[in-house]
Amino acid sequence: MAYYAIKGGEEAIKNSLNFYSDIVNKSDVLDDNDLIEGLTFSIDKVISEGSLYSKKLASKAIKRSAGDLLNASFFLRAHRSSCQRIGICKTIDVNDMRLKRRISSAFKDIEGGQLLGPSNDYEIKLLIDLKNEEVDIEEFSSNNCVIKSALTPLRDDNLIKELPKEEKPWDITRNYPSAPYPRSAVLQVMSRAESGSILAVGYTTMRGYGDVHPTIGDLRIGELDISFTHPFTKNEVKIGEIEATAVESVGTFNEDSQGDTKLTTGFGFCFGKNETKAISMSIVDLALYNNSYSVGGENIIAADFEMIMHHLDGIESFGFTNHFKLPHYVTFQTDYQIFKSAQKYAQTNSKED
Amino acid sequence: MRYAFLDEEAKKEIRRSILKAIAIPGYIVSFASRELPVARGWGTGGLQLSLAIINEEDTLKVIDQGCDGSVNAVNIRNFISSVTNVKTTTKTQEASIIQTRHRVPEIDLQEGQTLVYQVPIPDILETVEPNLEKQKLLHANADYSKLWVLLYEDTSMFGDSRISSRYPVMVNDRYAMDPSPIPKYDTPKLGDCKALQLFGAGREKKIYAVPPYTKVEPLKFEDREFKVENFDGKACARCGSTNSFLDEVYDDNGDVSYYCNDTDYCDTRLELGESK
Amino acid sequence: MDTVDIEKKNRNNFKAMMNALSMPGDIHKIEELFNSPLLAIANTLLYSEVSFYYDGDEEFELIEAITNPKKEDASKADYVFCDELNEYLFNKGKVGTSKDPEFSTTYIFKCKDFNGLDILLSGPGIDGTKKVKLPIDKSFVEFFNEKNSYYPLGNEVYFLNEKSEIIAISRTTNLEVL
Repeated sequence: MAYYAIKGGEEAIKNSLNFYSDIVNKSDVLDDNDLIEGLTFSIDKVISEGSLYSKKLASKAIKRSAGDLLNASFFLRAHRSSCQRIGICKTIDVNDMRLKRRISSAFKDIEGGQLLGPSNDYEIKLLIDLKNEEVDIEEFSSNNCVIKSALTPLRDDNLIKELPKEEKPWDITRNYPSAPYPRSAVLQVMSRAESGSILAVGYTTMRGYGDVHPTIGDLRIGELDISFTHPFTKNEVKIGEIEATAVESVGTFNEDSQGDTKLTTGFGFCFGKNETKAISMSIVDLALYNNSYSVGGENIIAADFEMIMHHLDGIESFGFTNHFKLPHYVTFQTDYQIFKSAQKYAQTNSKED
Repeated sequence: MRYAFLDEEAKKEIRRSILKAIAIPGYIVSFASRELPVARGWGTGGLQLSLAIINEEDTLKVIDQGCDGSVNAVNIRNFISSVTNVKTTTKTQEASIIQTRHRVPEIDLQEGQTLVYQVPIPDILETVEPNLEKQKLLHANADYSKLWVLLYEDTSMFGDSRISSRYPVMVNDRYAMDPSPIPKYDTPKLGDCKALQLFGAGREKKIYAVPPYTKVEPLKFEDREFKVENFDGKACARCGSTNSFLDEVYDDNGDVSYYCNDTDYCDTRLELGESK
Repeated sequence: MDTVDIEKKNRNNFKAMMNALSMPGDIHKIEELFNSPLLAIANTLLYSEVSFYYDGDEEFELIEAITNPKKEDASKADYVFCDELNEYLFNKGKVGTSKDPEFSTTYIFKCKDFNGLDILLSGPGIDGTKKVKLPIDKSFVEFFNEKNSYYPLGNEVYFLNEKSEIIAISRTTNLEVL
């Protein structure tokens, strides 16, 4: 068998992509609107991990990936790299959110009541058609529903530990920090994290490897306005709105930098609807910035900045994990030669003994 | 599409990192590292370097495991070509930029050429200390004792270092550097090289460099030989070379043959009529 | 008005700077921007995440408008541009720390031509030794060698002459007056 397959590399790739497109093209029949409306949680996962708020592009990416949501997020990230940055919008305050859903586990009742909104929390997971119960819903518009965080009274009474505020938020896509990591950078990493990765890390703290059983102070889903300073008129204009999830968790108590004992809190935030991710993020935030008092609380992954900053990004972990499929025959040959030498050395030595 | 895909600010940041890396040979410079349409771990570091330095006058060669036709090399070359229209070649001697994964070309490089290495793990200290902050401090203090201890332990247990590729080198008598997963066979080529060598780790967001004519030596004890991969008694079945890195290839009958890993080297030998 | 492809100039000029720094003492050509090689270099290097210091006669505002860099004093700036060799400014610039030696100043000095002292260069980027003429004086040589003796801390210096030629010396370059 003649060896020279090297010229076939290009053709092999073309053919492989062709086979792959046979699979992927089947999703062409799906309408973008159907995905955006019908698979809304998939779309939201992709815009969050892709770190680019565009439901339309997310839909295209999901179709191009034939449903591989992490691969779809990768498409969005790559696209994001090619977008020119026009400017930075006004900082959003989640208290301004037009709420579709807002609950607090910390209090029995809160201002505006426990707004369950659309949620699958009480869904019975049976794969059979359940008949919708008759319901009687009053007219409701989230436009009228702007309520501050349920933890506001505690903040107003100065009971919550405040972390030092940074002068300017970091931007990890323009400058990746080294330790000590600015908190804004840490939160950015977590907000873009692969949902399953941050879920697993958050979960470790709940099972004893960190602060046990934090309480959700405020969980909200709704719309936020994006405002931008017009470059010519210098007026603030609304340029769009995003749907987002925000969670504030309460942990335990800690001494703050002034030596006062305060309640500790963690913050989780992501594009779209993703409660699991926002909850996990708020819990990891709690673990990172506060001492925990449970026995398993030393040297835990959730409180290790190096673990959080470098292992939660799905695009990075997915890329590197899959890179092992690339040819590695040179390094394998070198490994093999070392193994042979070591084997020989062991044999020579055992003969001497 | 914009020339070389990346926006101008991204290119400027990479270029700034390159200049600092050249000024401090072997020192790891951090950079933001943009995501590209190629996956992390598949050469985005090398790609960002090539895209930041390339211009209309360049000629590009891309190899993976020494081979221009390797699927990853083909993919990367096609991508760079599609966003720059740059002239490409498989001939080492004709290239001004050579992007490589895991090998240094067999043919000696010349002044004016740039070798861009794809690096998975940029810090050689990762083998003895995974924490990034601690790694930085060790480099700041030129404290490489953990590497020496590893070398000593391996030598006493196995007769030699257990490290096969990514063999640690000392650059300009100051920084211990990861030469990327090249075989030990290629390590001696880094020192006093006529070409500029740039190293890019996209996922880990690091760039480092070795200028031409710079001292680069493998870490080894004075009384021990630096043993490289051995091809004694073997020759390339295609061109007959006995002094190049050889690939072991099994055919359909299970018989083994050896071929030059560096395909351009092999092609060139045949062209010059230097066959067996 | 001819259209100027600024990004093309940037990539060509960056290549010249990269080659100049990798092989200190070699002369390379810069493409002017707004009839100025200094402005061309500034446009190649500056962007929103870096800072500079310049107190001279050229129209730097043009470059500031395009590239949006930060202004800083000479002791803190990432890039210090100067219409002539200035030892006071050279001594003022930051040299980085042993943990982060890259947070150090890069100098770009304009000069009439490269005539000056005969200097023997050695170090990374140089095959053995190289004899060149540099537009500097003996005290600059002393300051340069002294400041860079705390390697990896140190500074790189580029010289830019009226013919739009550039020459560089790295912090690893040793200067010996002949």
